[in-house]
Amino acid sequence: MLELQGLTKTFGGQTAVHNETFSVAPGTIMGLIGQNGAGKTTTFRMILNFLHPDNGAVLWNGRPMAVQDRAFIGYLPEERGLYPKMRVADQIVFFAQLHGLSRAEALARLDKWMDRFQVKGKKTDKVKDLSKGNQQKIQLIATLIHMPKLLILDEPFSGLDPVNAGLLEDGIRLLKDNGSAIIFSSHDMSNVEEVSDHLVMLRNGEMVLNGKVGEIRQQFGRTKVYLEQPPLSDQELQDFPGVEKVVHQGTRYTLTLSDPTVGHALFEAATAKGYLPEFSQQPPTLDEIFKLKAGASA
Amino acid sequence: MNAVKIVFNQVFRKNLKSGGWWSIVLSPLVLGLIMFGIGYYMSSTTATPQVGVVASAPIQQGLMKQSSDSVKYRTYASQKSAEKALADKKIDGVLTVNAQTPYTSQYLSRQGGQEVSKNTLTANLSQLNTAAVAGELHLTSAQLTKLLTPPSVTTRNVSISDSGKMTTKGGAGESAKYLLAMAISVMFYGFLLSYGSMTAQEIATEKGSRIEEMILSAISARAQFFGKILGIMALMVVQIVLYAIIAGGVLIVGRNNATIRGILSQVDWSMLDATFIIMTLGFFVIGILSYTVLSALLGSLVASQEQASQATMPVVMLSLVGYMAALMSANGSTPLVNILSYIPFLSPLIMPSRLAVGQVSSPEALLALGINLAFLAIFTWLSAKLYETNVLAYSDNSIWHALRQSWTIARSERGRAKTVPAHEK
Repeated sequence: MLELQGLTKTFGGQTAVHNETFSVAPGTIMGLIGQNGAGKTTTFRMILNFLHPDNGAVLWNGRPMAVQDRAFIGYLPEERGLYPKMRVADQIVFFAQLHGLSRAEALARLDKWMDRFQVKGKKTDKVKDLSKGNQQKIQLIATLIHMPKLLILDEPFSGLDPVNAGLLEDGIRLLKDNGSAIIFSSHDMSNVEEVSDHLVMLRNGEMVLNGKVGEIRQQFGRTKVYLEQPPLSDQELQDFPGVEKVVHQGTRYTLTLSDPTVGHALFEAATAKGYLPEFSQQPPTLDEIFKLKAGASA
Repeated sequence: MNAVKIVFNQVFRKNLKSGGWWSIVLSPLVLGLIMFGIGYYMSSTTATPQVGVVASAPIQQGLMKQSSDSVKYRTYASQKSAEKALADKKIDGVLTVNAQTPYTSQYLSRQGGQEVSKNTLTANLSQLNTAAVAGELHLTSAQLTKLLTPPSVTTRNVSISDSGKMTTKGGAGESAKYLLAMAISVMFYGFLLSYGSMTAQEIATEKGSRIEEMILSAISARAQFFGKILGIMALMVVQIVLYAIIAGGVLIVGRNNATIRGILSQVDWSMLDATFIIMTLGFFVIGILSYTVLSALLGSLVASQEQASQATMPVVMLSLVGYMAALMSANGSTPLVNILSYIPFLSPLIMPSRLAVGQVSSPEALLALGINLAFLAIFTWLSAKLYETNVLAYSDNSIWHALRQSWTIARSERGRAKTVPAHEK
């Protein structure tokens, strides 16, 4: 169990993170979202003991992170890098050994991971001779091979093609099933909703959201209605009481309601003439919440 | 396996497999081989110049007797026959000597022929000339010998202690020591430059590519720092052992080779005492370690691999000062060099050569060694501390700025690191 208790960090008078408190239980995935500069990387650096908080503490299983042997951590930095001239196997063995695996164990596991991630290349190839996509896979293997109990991924999906992003999701789920506590950051919501159990959103170092993904969305109420081929005209929708905004794309409409209860009247009106291919009333998407929250004070 | 050992293994194995390290090892050998080859080729292809002599019979015989490796004389009855031999390239020059004392002569040399130094010809002729003049003056052979004996100069090198006591220093032994000191200075300079830049490069690459962050998420920066330094030291030991094996092999195989024997015979090896060798080795080890630690510190300050050469600049400058001062120390002691020879980084380059030429006594050198060792301990401890903050801080500013910044962070972080766990108890 990873616990952050009232973490505060300032750099030369500027607050990077303020009173950050959350926890990540084993077998769960936490998404840390926020714009660039919101304090995500600073948070990770404090968890990793690269930076020491001005106030507060980072605990792992109830003990301060600073006094732990950190071999149980797997970390993927935002900017990636490998030794270009080193062979794949040597490189992976090195990182695995740093995390407590023996050479033989690391080599045995490497075969499985290379299969799992469908790496095109041999263990004896130098990293620089692999394609970019395969280099990314090797980097992921280096982070995951020791099956870390705590996995920290800084913007893991940035720069990955959809195939590799899928492989990463599979890898993350594998570790989750294995009981790892996982925390990852993102400023792109598309992968977050699918992968995370919990979400924390930072804005200028402050926590503005904290909770389960579904619950957070529900907090905002079902204020979005998706309609396809409604029997009402643009104008009629626009003028409907309680509808704040209408976005029209082809035969599909997205309506923003001032109050979820407006949905009832809208449903009646939309189905008055019978069949309707789609009527869906939902809470705002994470992306919308993200934009809403990110822009709130800006 | 502990962290230091893993990093040590990785640094050692990675470089052992790299072309960069092998080029550091092999390039001096290749250079040495080429120089030896050129020397050998030159000496084997240079023929002794042949000089035809046109003169009276006593002079011809006198010169014939003086034929040596540097010139071989042949006699010709006439200028014409000699010049024909010259034209036929049988000889390289024609020396025509007028028998009247003092001798006057003309030397005709063929373009493209082997060169004879004018000094050799003059020296050979002047001996005959002196004998001829002595004959004219009716001198006895004893008088002639006296006339020909050069005045003698014997040298005695003394060191004067503070109390004014003079102690005679050995002659031949000092040259052996000085030669060894110079050889070690050159090797030291070469080693510190190659391993210094290798260390800085290694760290700058890991930092620039953010591999550093992955490593430090698992182990402490301190463990990584020491693992790296030890790994690089091990590579250097392997290089020295390789050289020792090669040197041993060359001595065994080539012990009958005239060139190698010539080089070895110039030094009186028995004069190298154990104190001097141990002291010099001490300076070598401490010096190389100091420079490697400095390179590691500087390498951790830059933000990318491209800036690694910028990082090694101070190493180059500092060692160059030491190297120049070491060369200067051979020409006599100056107050500046004396002071520099106690200063860390410069001392390991200067002190062995000062010790070799007898400018300092063993206790003084031992004092310098002590200063260096104490400095190395403090400097390593400090560097390891700064390294912890440096390797994770990226700055586009100058190295000095980065160093100041890292110092500030290190100090403030240290305070926090202590309070955090305490806070939790």
